Amino acid sequence: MVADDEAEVHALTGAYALDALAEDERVAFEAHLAECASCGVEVDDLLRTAARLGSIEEVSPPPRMKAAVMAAASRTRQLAPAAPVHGDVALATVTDLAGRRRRRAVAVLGVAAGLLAVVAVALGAQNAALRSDRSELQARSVRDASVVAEVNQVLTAGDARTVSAAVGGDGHGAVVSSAALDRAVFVGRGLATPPPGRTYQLWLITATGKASPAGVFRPDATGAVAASVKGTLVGNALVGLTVEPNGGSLAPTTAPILAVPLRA
Amino acid sequence: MSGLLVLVARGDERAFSQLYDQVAGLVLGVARRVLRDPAQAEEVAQEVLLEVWRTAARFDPQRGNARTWVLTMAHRRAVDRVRSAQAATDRDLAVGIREQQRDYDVVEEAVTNRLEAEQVRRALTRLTDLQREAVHLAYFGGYTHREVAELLDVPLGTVKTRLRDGLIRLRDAMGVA
Repeated sequence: MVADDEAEVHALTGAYALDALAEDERVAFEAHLAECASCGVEVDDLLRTAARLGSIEEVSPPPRMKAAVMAAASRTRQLAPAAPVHGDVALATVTDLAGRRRRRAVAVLGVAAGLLAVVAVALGAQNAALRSDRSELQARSVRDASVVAEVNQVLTAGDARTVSAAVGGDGHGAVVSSAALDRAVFVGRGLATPPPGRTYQLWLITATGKASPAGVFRPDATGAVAASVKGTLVGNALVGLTVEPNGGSLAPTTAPILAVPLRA
Repeated sequence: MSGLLVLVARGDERAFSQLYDQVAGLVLGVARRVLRDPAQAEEVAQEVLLEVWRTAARFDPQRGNARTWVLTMAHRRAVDRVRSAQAATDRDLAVGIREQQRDYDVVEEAVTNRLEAEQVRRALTRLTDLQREAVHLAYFGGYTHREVAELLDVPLGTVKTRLRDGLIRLRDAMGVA
């Protein structure tokens, strides 16, 4: 029932503020936050409260830590203030799974190595036309402008390397990595919608085959996605992609549908 | 601290050094509680502080509090790391439940006693035992609400309610605006 679902979603504010939601639940809840002012206010309060829990114990950092952080900072580029979405922003008509046509802003990301990725970006809570229909909420991959900017940072890094591969029938995926930023992103298009109850999951895999979970995502209605590969690149040799049950798995339950080396 | 963060966003390394002095201990404290392993905690704390430097421009002084911003980032990173580093089943579940008893007696090495920390501890006593247990497992254990439900063998809805009600009580007890 819609009413039950809505009541249920509001009840997640505490879990969200405590970082107790699994990845896909978090993404879905953040989509809800973009549209629900009262949850937004409550979440702000609860995040502030949770942060005070974090102040219960302070541990004196060893001097080497400050030296390391200050040294790293002096060679790390910062995000520009109020970073706009890079590249062209065009209005496109996107047909969502329920067959409704919506006007959405799509950010066209300029990508090294000529791979074009189209990511649907839900810009701002002001779009009253966005009803929180449950299937739409789960089906679309919502990325706010700051995540797009973060992905773009890797894409435009000086040492960015792209390795791409086919995924499934018509799909295409690419892993763009930057050793300097110690960060990689996965950019895909034409990805099939995962079956109900399942999601895509990224992995960072060592040369000996040990896989660490690196984030879950669902492609948007057009099969596109741009997602951060979560985790350090150091010690890892490959980025993998599998389809897992909702919420992701702790280890891959199937053979990867894509396994791309970090260094081509 | 908000003022420092605004300067940091503009590349002011001296401001960053001062900000570090104010928050690094808190960041490391959160990382230690969630990760337990001091080496991993230090790694994550370093990553977080570097992220603070890198993304300071995202902080909006009109809308938020600098310490909340930093500690929220710290907690998220620590939880991400603990979830990816260990299978939940490998984590010592019994320790997770025992951990939350700890706050009121054992003092960890290098803890700085602060008035603020005392206020939080006192506020925690205003939660019910069940709320405090759930909040601790989630915040300090890094467990998802589903994992908490499994650990405590209660329905998921019950956990959601305890987490939300517990945090609301904590908020009210501490007078968070």
